[in-house]
Amino acid sequence: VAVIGSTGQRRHIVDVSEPANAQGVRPGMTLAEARALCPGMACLEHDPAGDYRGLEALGRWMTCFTPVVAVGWSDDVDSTPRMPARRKPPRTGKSSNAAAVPDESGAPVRPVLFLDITGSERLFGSAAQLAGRVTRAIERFNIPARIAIAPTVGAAWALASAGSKSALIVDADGLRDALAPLPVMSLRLQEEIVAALHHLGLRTIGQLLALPREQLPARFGPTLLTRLDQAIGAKPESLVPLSYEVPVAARIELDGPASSLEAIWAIFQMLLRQIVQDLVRRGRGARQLDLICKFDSASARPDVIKVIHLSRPSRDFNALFNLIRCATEQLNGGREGFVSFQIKAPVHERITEEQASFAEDHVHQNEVQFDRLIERLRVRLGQSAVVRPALVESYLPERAWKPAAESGSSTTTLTTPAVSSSTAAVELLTKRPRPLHLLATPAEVLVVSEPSDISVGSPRQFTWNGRVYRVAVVAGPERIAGEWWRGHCRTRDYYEVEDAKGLRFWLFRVIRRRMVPSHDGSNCPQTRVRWFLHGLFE
Amino acid sequence: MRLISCHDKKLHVQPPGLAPVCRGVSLSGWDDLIPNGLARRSVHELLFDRAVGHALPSFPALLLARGMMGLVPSPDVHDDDSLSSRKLIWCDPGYTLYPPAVTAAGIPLDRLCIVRPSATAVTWTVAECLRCAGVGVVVAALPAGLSRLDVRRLQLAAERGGGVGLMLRQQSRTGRADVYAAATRWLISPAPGDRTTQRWTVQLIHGHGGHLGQSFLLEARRALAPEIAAVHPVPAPAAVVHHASRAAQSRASA
Repeated sequence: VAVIGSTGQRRHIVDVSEPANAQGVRPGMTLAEARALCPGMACLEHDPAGDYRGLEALGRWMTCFTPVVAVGWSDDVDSTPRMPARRKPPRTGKSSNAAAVPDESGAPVRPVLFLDITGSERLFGSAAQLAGRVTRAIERFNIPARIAIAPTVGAAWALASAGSKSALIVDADGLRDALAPLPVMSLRLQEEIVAALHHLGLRTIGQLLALPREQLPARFGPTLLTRLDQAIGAKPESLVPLSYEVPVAARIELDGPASSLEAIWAIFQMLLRQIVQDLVRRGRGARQLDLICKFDSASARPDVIKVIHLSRPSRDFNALFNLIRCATEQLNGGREGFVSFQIKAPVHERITEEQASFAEDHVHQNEVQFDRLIERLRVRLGQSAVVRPALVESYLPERAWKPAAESGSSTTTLTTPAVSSSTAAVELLTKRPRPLHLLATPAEVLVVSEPSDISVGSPRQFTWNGRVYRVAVVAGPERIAGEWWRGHCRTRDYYEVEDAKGLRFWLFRVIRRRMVPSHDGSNCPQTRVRWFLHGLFE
Repeated sequence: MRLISCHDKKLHVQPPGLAPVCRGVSLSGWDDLIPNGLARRSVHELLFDRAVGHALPSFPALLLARGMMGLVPSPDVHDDDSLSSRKLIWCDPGYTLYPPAVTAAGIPLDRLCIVRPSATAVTWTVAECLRCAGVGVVVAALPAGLSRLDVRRLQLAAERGGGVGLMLRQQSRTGRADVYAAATRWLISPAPGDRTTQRWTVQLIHGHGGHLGQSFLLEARRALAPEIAAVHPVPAPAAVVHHASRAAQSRASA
């Protein structure tokens, strides 16, 4: 197995499995080279984001061993620690590689999980027993990983990355001895520094430690000394633990079923009060609320889930409850009734107090009111029932606009300047007549045209929906060529026509020419003309 | 039903000082027929005759909305107009409104919001929009067969929200008076135009202080920017072209 990444046109190997490695495939090779060496190799696309998510998930699972779990990549050497450091805690560095690393200069990115097991090793008997448990768990997941426990993050990483398969446990006294034979690579250094050290014949950490300290920064920059000190514990290093967040949610289980709307609203009111309190405590406002109503597990009816999207974060009890009321108006508990209710706020955002003071402003107040209205309408009518249009530069009339993207940020109001920017589109529009109503799909109409050559004549009469319209006034044609780069290559001739009563229509004609085999065997051109009603000038 | 009635009761308790404010719409036809101006905080009805065809008076409604939202360039523009910072909501259950044409008529798209309720939810949606203080004008084609409660609710919603409702309604075919609670009612019917001009006849049917029964001819000219709506009193054919065209020319030269 090999994992393939691509930089531009080039496809190269990011990482390989052990059998492939045995065949001579190395990371950094191009795909073609690797294929030549190992024809039966299976290839997987490199997905760094997916890998990171997986590692994070594993890290979250690891919180069963200790509350402080950090996810690290060996290449983020310059990441700045955010947490205050504690001196010399024993740590487990656990490098878990999806594929074995072939040699020390190999894989550029080595995923690693750090578990701060200060204190928690006692819960598992000893550090060795804890390491054994982690090892067994990792084996169950079928992930080849190496585990090391050391007093510092740097040492744990070094031991795990360079050490053997079995769990290494090093205490503070044996730290220097354990590190000494390890290659300099395991100090989490940039490649240039490693290359420079290699050039000078410095292979192991022991050799580095033997050198006079003062000379190191001058030659190799401050990073080397920092890393060295971190490894031996002379300098503190902190972990950035995975933040584990309690979701904002409130639920209630009832003894008996509730089916009346008043009761359900009273329950939601109660739950919402908890949610709002939670949001206030966290200084956040909800952007989405999920309402989940469950039936008794005996009845097989599925849960009722209503989702409310908010256009700006809110923790205003009345506003939120109004939305909940709108969303649950149609709720039907049936004869069984609901036995369990839950409100979740899966998406929430920071909300600051100045947002509240802005509201003094009259115009802003109107904007807020308008956003609230949009939310209410969306809850009641559906997410797609409210559209904020934006222009698109396109020659095809039906492509000339699209629903605008919602501005997600809470600080910006919904007035986006995107419209005015496409001035060319506006100019195009103001020059040409466009109907106020455009049919979603043009309706084919039967047209009598004059002169009788249908490919150039202008319409005299047309039939739409079984009604005959006699054309009194014709303006046009306006020729709109299809956008061939999008696959719309038919040219349309648009006519603005008015019937005897003064109703105005926008018709277009499409001409299709193709060769059809005639009876004597040769191909002769055939012209087919179709007319469509596209819009109404009302 | 219980809910509706309590809703209505809430609406009836109006703080004082919400009397409709009347202002012109900077469109000479309308301003001539209603010298006091069209009332804000209320509902206006634009009637159409289904017998003529499908013709909803959408474009006249758009022009009115533009005038009310302070988007008509004119010397006597009301800066203090409370609608000038608000949005236009277009109720479009048929998915046919074409926003580029709205822009071409002089309404920036960031002021426009399209709502597509199902046929049964139109009245609720319009009332909800009118009740909102962020909405300046709501344009909607109302379904036939509204109850007295429905139309009253729309009017009350407009009073509370401070915006204007432009309701496109079908003229009753029986000739019997419709149920309505609108400040003014206009009958708009298409009139014969020519190659470059589309015309409508606009007649004032109801409105306090207005010239009832009189009508004018509204024109939308294609040759100029389509926003230009010239207005002729009927039957006198004298041209009354106003500031909008001058503004358009200055814009074109800029």
